[in-house]
Amino acid sequence: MALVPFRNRDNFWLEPFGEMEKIQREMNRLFDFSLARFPMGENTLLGSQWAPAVDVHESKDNILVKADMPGLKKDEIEIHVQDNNLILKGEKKEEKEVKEDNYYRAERFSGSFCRMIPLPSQIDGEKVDARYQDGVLTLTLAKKEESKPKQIKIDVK
Amino acid sequence: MILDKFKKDPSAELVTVTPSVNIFEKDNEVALELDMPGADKEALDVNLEGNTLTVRGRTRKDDIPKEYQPLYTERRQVGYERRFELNIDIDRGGIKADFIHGVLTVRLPKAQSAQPRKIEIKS
Repeated sequence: MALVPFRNRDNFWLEPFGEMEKIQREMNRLFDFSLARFPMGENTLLGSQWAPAVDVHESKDNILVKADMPGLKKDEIEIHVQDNNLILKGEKKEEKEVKEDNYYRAERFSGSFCRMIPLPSQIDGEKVDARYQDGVLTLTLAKKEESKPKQIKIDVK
Repeated sequence: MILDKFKKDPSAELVTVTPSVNIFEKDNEVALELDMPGADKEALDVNLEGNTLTVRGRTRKDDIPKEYQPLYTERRQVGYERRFELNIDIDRGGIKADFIHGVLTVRLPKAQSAQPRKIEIKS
């Protein structure tokens, strides 16, 4: 997986230390997430050759996840929500119509993959919207009521 | 304002990615499969010039609603480009391409002269 820092181009030149902070954030993310990516017993850390690249966005009510998984059919993708984790699993079957000898190149991934994505808050497992278009999976996950930010009104007397 | 100079349109300077490819041969054709997740179908370009096959594309811009804040992003808007040198005769009129589930498949039918022919041995 490549580390691609997120860059908000509009403010890029106005934040001289922005890049440093971003690198720090990326490093933190690397340590936080890379070891958590493969649930134990499913894959060893080195056993899985490929995992989809993902984006995670958050709003007040929802979490939006996008994942690049080209070449999969809809029914080859498994989506699980467990505690605060989203698990994307799947298996890309090799097409057996052509003999190995007749391949000039075979760079594309085939086999099974699994990726666990820690979510920033609890989500309502019933309210998950999944779409798959042009090899990109888009998930909209509704946050649980209790984990939404709440405004507390204080009467000033 | 001078800072406006730096506010380039992000789509004008896309990072170019080389898509992974599988290439295999059958009796009557050579097929290429390229992983191009998120590519805009309308912007796909498959071009054969001389013996050079060029495949180009770019990803659609994600339209994330305004209320969302990014937590982390590994995906980005990219351009796809890859060239291939062909060393067999292709029936240029019969090239077909389709784009399904983020995979571009290009089928290059072999010219009659490049197809295997069974030769009868006379006794």
